[in-house]
Amino acid sequence: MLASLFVALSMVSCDSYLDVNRNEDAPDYVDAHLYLAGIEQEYFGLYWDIRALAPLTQMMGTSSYTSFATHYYSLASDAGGEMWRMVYWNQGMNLENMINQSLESESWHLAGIGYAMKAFSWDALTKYHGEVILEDAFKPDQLTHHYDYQEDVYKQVRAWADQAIELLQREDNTNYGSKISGNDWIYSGNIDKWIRFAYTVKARNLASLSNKRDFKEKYYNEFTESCEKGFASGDDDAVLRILGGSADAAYSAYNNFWGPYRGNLSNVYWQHDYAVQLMTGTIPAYDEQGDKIRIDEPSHADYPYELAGPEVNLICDTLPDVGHFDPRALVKLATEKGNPVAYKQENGTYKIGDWFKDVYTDRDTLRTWTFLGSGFTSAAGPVGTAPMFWGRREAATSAKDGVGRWLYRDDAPYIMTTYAELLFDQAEIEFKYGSKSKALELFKKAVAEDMKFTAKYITKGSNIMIGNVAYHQGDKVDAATFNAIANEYLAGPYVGGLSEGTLTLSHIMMQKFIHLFPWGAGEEWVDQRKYFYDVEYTGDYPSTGNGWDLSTVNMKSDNNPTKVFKGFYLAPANVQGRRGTYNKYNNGSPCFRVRPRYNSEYMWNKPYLEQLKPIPGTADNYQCSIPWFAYPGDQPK
Amino acid sequence: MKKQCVLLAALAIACGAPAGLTSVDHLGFAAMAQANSGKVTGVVKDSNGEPLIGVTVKVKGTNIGTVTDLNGNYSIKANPSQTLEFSYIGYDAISVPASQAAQVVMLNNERQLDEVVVTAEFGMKRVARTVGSSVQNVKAADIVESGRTDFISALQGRVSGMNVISSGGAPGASTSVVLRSATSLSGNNQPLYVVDGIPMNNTSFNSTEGLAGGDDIMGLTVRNTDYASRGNDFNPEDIESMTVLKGAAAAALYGSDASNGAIIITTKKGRSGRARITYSNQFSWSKAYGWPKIQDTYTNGAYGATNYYYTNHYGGLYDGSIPYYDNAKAVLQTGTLMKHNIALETGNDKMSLRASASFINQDGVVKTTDLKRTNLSLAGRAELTKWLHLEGSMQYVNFKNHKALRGADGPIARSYRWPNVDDMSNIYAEDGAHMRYPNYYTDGDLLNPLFGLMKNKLYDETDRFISAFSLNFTPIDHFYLRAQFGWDVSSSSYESGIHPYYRTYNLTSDDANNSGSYSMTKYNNSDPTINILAGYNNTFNDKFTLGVQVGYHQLENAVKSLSSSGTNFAILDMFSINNCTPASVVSSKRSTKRRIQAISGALELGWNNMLFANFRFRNDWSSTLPVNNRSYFYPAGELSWVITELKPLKDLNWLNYLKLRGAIAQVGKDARPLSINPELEKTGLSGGGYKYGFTGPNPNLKPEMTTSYEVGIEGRFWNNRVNADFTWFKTHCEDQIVQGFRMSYATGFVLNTLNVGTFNTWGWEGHVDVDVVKTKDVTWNIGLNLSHTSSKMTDLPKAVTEYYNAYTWNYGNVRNGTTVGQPITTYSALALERNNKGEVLINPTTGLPIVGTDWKVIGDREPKLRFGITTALRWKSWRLSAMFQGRYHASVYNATMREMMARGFSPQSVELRQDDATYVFNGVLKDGWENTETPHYNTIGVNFAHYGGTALYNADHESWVQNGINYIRCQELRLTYIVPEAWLKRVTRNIMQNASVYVSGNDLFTITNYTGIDVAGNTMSAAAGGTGGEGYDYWSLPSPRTFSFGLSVTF
Repeated sequence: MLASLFVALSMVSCDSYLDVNRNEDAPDYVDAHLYLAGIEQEYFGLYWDIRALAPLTQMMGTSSYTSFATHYYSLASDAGGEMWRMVYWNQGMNLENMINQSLESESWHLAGIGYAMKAFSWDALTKYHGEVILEDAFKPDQLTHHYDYQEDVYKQVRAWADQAIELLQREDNTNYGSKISGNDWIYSGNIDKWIRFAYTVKARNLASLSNKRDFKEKYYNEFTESCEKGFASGDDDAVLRILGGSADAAYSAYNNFWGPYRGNLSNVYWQHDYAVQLMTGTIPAYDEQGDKIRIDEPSHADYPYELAGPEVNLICDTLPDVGHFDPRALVKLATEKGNPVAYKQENGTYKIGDWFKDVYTDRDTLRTWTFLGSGFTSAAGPVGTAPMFWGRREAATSAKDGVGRWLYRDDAPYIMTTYAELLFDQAEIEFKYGSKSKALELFKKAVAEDMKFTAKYITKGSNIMIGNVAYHQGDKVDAATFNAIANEYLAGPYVGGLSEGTLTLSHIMMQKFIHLFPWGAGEEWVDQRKYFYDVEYTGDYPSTGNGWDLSTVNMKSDNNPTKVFKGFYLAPANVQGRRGTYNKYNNGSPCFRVRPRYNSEYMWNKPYLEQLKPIPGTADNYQCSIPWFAYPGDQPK
Repeated sequence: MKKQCVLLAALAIACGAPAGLTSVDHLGFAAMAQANSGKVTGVVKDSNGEPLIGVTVKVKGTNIGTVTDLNGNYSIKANPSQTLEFSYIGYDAISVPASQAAQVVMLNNERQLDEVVVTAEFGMKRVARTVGSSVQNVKAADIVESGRTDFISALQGRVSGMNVISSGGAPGASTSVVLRSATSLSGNNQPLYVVDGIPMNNTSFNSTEGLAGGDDIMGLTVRNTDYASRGNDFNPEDIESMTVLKGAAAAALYGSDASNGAIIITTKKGRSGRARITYSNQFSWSKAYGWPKIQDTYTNGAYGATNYYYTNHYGGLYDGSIPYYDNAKAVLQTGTLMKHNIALETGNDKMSLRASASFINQDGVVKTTDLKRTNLSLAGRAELTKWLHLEGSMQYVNFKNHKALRGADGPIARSYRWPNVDDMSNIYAEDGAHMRYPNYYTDGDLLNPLFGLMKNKLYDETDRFISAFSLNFTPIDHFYLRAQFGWDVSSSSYESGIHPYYRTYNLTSDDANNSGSYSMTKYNNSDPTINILAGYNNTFNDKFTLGVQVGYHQLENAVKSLSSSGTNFAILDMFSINNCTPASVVSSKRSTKRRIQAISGALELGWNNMLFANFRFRNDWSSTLPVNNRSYFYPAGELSWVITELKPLKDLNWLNYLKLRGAIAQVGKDARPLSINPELEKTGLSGGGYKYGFTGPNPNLKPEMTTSYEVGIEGRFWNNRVNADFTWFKTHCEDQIVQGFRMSYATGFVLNTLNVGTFNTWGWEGHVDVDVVKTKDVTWNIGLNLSHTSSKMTDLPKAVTEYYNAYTWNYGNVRNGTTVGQPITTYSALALERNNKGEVLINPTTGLPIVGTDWKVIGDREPKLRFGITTALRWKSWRLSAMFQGRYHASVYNATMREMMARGFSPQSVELRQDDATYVFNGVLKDGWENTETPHYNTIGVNFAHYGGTALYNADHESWVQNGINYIRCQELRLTYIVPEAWLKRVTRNIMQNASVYVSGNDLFTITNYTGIDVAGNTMSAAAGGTGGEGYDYWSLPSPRTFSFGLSVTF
């Protein structure tokens, strides 16, 4: 008996008995298309880091990511490190597998989509961090991870985009069925749109080099070609759809990162004073000491300061009452105005007053609304206290705010890049290196496209009661009203009325700021850094002693014609409300790059960070190291 | 893998062929034995009916001799008229006429009482003197009498070099055992538990990993939950004997799972003779103790302004006008325990049987926590024929456990945050259903932990069946074949749920759409094992003994978990997946299997009962490694020299026994299942699909290797009244398979599984046991055991400056972190910046210490010394025994005190702000002079009341690691009265054989220089592995003070 047992054992032994090292409930290999939806959805990580970027760009103030609002960084923290995680891990090997498996099976289109996304992701990554690990990435058993120079990363981004275009244009005989269309949450498998996306990625990449001395000869043609073959309309916008579902969603990540359900914006991020000034035409005038000028009898009670003139307030002049009203303020910004209030009735129960509307269509009412912006790190702004993005001052909750409003909605798509953004890029480049008339045309089209973009995501609002308290959920203006005002605005002096002679680079860049608010803070930061934050310096680029010293940054004044972002002042600038100082380790410099993720690089890759130039990644002021794209020439060694 | 197949086939032939032959041959052999009058056969047993193996049998006046086999049988050429001499180490030699030698009982030799037979190696016995590595026996009675519900906790302090770390004092707390030192940075460091030769599962459910995707909502981790160690399911009453094999030498036979040593348990199998019924019980009352006082000088608030809405106590002076409540009391109760054991046994010379049942019902010191355990066992042995013996044991366990969260999420920590001016025990709002907020609160920032205990769910239940059978087959003299089959199988369910009203703002919540969340996991373990051993033993020329053994081993660890979770209850108080909104329900399943096949070999040589050499090897094939690396070989050698056998030493009066020994052993270890291939997960994002998880697969993993060395000496002196043992050991661990190894994300992963890291550990352990008084009426015994361990990390990849265990990063920036040149048991922290002289740098503006951004090693959790003291005093029928246990000079992170200071709770924080006092931190200003000859010493006073706690200490956690901590804890104190046997038998007309009653106490007091809650605090469940969570005291629940009484009777 035992002998036969032995024989039986020796029969089942060997490899088949030991071949159990697999999880029967999780695959170790899946078809390439099964990675697609996941890779796309990981782009929510872009919004994650907007918590750092929006305060850096003065789109938002925050009491949470305050170190970024003050152009420093969070010590020993992963704050601001999500894009790193997205590119290397969340998309990471999934994207590598999708591309490689597709190439192997000659599924050229799926591989092309992969390369297009890879180009987009790495473009965002290097614009954010500067030098990143390219060559040594994704190699098994690699124990050393060196950094690559940004110029090489830029080249690789465009090479991937080119590869994407080549693959997407190749004849692909794969019978995909719904394999791509069913998993593609950006373009539903529309290959033409993906081709235009890849060109747009190239264009955006090159646009960031517009401050390079050799832009015209080196990049202009490629840029222009990319724009021509890039997005053709707002339908091409790269927006990532999601399922939403609020509390009923199986996974909370089905909801938008900014929606009330996930509560990430809640009451710790607010619209920054600068963003409000732009959209409401309330950039103040500063006297020679840099102080605001108080008016004794202001026409608008909430705004007791003299405003800068139309050469500075280039967007609109809503105040005091003349009115070329920019309706984007009503949607992109939040206000407490128009919030319902509940009244006690005679029978003792509470009711929302009849005069509170779910949606306001009366332009004269809307025009009188006040929008308040925050400071850098506190809701208290120079004029008043800013509300959170849903128009109240307390924390957002699903109960009170419903699914949210505009892009701050549980089921709002994530905006990656748009046709309007591309038009602004092109307008800027044409203005600088090409034809002014073309620039003007592109500019007008871009602003009009932003209006369409803004209207597209408006959610009709309604008033609700919880207990005895009334709340408003959704947007306070409907698309029709918005469009009507928008058409007036577009026809008005600030857009339609501009001519080749009156159009300035500032018009383009400031309108672009509004378009990018706040979803495109990453690109906005590229623009601000490219123009060195409008710091007053001599020579090629600012540096310690030339543009800033330990306690102040010398900003161009608003009437300086070379100042691109009118009304924009960094925190240590010499105007009222901007007289702080940066952390001493910044040596007076604003922040020019976000440090790579702490728990990846500062914990586990320090020797290679240390090798970075000109400022080592381990230096106290590495965040001030100007990236290659912003230098007119090469980065100093 | 051809080589492997050939080896296995060869083994099958080697073992199978003789087995096959003899099974045919056997009939003839048996008939011959009966017929041949020149041969005498018989069996040798001890007084308990246990067969004795290796007894030397000689025909008096001749050179004819043999030894008994595995079942105690012998067969010798002799005439019935001759006399047989039986001798055996530790037993009195006897002579028996061959005609009466069919059943021989040998009695223990009082003088050599301690030279016991150690039970080891698949249920077979080895004589202590032949063993070259460190082995210690634990008396079953000590475990039973420890007053603990589980046998693992009972081991604490009893074995030198053994550290038992309990995760706390809650019913069902997990325990981790480390023998000597950790040998794995990230993996399991616990010894292997072997019951009747079959490995017993001792895992703890890991809620971080085990709640497969289903517990995002609860956030249960190995930090805030703790599930019982499965080894604790085992009924201590069923233990006949327990042997601790400390070194890696154990692994050469039991395999890599025993690389951290092994604890070998033999269960009771019933005794022959009259049937016996034994009943015992225990009744206990426990009281929690040890929490720090909360100050009542200052109220809640900030910057000196009273505001009860604040949880920190930085308000104004408390004027006594409002009643003050000790809210921690609201979540505590007197714990109770009731335990009943009953065992029935019977048997004759051919077979014996034992059935037992044990019931435990325990209520913890935290309200609503409890444990219920039922064990039913059946075991026995049978002599089927002279040459075939059968042994078997089965145990069924039912285990139920309600628990509370631990640490910062636990009820104690939360109750400290509740305002003391509000009675937390009043949990309901006016409507009698919702959770009440503290008065002074207008909304719900605070969760009432008592409400949580009453309303939430944290429950687990296990059904388990442990079984082992073995067949001893001895067809030919000196040969044996032993086959063992075991199956340890269990099915657990883990449920957790948060009540809809246990949340902030619940008063204003929309009750038509309740929240609430629920998660359940069904978790099945299945561990079947087969061991087949064949061997040969013989003695030549009276002096030379030889043992050869080959073995085939096969084991499997299969785990299946199925989990579901959902939210938004339809009905308020119903915790069920059916009660969750369908769209919210998420389910997942995960199954893993690990299989090992192995062959082993052993050669044992002995000379003159004095010198013994032992060589072993094992080759494993593991399913968890890549095909090309899955085979690994590891050898071991042991030497033992009983020098008291030498002529000049043999007759010394004061020296009874002295043995020198040494061992070298190597152990290979495999990886965890699913380490080499990716395990793609569903994304959890819109659109679904698959993605990689945190950990990168490693298709190139190699087995890790540990080499250990030990030398030791043991002796008995002065009529065996002093017993001592000392061992020095060293272990070299390299090519560690490190799970969760961190590198740049450029690897594509957050965590990696790599063969990295090399470290050494070394140390010593010793024990001495003295019979101080030994008279007929009075005996007094004292035992002391001591151990010391050191370690040093010698290699890590260049970019990796620190290896740490993320689970221990629990409060503030202190964690298990080690770096090259440091012990593996260190803390690392974002340490204070210091100048070249090591003085703390102070911010010249604020006067506060400056916390750096680098993780630095700041302390070592491993004490300089671990010790245990046992003592027992017997006076006639009274017996008083005690056990103390402690550590000398270790570091403990007093995170509780850190938080209490930061929150203004602790009395020390009162001193700092009395009369607007300012506090000047010691250190030098970081003003550019800090590294000169004349640094500026800090004189800046910091106003505690103004800065408040967290700001004052900023990010400094280093200062709260208390170094040089010592403690000694009274683990057990017990007084027993044994009813005199003769009187008892007379009174009960011989019905009752034994009776005793006792009172006892556990964890009665701790003497320590530590100021936190629990000096033995542990932040992690045993499930976390690695170097563990010992040395972290963060709102621990210390083992409560327990008083018990009970009785034991035998019929």
